Amino acid sequence: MDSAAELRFREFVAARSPALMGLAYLLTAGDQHAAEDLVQSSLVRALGRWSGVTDPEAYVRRVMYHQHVSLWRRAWRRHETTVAELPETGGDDGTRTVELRLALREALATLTRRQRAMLVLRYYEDLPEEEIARLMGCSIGTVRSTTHRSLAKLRSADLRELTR
Amino acid sequence: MNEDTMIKEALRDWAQEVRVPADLAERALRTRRRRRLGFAGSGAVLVAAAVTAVVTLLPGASPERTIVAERPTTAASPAPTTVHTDTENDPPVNLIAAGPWAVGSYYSTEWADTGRGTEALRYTWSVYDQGEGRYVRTPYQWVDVLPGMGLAAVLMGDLPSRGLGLVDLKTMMFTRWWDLEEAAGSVFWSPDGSKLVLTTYSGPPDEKKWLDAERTSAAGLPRSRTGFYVIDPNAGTRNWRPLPPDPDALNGRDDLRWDDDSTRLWAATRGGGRLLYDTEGTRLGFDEGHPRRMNEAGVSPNGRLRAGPAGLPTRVTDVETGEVVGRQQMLQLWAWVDDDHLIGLGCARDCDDEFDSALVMVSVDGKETTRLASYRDSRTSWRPVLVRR
Repeated sequence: MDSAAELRFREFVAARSPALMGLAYLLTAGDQHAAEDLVQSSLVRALGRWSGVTDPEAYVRRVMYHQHVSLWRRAWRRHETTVAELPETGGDDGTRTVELRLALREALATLTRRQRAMLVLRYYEDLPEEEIARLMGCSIGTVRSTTHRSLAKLRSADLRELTR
Repeated sequence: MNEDTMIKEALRDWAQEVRVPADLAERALRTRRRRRLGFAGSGAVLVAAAVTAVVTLLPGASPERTIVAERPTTAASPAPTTVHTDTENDPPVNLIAAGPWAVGSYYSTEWADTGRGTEALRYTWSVYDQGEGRYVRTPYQWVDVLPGMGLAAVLMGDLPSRGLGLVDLKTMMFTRWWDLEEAAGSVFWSPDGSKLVLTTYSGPPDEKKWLDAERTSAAGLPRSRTGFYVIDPNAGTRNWRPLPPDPDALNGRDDLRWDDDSTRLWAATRGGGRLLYDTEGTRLGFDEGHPRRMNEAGVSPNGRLRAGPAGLPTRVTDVETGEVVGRQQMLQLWAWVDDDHLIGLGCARDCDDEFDSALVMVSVDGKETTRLASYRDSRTSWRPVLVRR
């Protein structure tokens, strides 16, 4: 990697770190350490083919989804995974909003990795179902059924009560 | 507020709470440099191990080591071609095997109070008892079955343990015993069955200080790896070497295992890589990308096909062209049965729950599947360990 390419990489990371870390934080259900790890390993992957990547952000995001939803680590090592504590909430929020936010986070943290990734793609990234299916390597039907089940799980977590 | 808006806002708020490290680019560049150097450093060893390792160059990729696993001399030759299933019992009672591979042992875990505000995993291991012709529960905290399934190395008592034994799987009696000065948290046979590696710890390797009743959040505890033993039961040698915890390690448990060449040792790191060591504990380098770790099939026996990384659906590609030759509705591909079939984890129903899975034999084209064992929740139920039979 020549110095011009390295400079381009550093500029890209400096500009896009907040967005990439935000996405990683959601995918890892609020685990700061795991989010840093996910972004870092995806950036390392991107470095491997930096000269051939035309849209670095799209590439890194795709790598992040694939790395994160790659099932073997999760399915096999779940009991070893450390999930961070829910963050403190700001003091100026209304109690009701805070409760709602915490309940939703807890509910999101109980979803499977695949379920959560699909919700993040749909609600945070605002992607259409076809794009989600392409990214996750599944059919549109699976995107719909997984999203449906995830929402049902969230609803069962007393959220309906709080939104009234 | 409607549901869609509520979820969108909650996700946006949550994402904003992340701390953004200032040195992400530097970290990535450093890791990249270190891995490249690490790989070059292990080149000499690769050449030395060329008898068992085939080095191939993939088009457009960095040199990648392709291991064609040798059949251990202790396993049956020629390899069995039969398939045995037990889909009725959960956990299994009758032998589960396909081609050269069998479930030699399986285990489950539960958290036990250590009495100092932390919890540690307790294991329940079962092995295939050749005398009884069924799986039997053992009292050991760690079990590793020798290829050929005639013998198992076991650790007695709470982990880390100072008692290592070899158990004859026909009689279930000890044939050898070692009292260890350094306490061990795991033991693994080399693939050729000639040596053992035991990773030693100063405290329980799986200890956690949980912060909630559901065990979803844990506080960090100091890592406790102290070193490792290499024991050659036939030569009667036992060597311990210090090896402090690696900061890049995946977990507090930071076990060493044998590479396919039965010469080098490796430990898993975050991001799917491996740190390689020699038997003196000298670091040889770093395997990046997707080197073959546990439960990854790697390259087919004829060397032509490569089983892809885990993730639904799995795929098999041509080693030379990189072309996808088959996709399978599987979660993970663990081992090659022959050049056309693999054993892996298949999911129940339409894969709506990644944890509801079973051992399945699947053809490369994904069209033929044979379920080998019952479905179970992979988080809480028994976990199979494959061994050459």
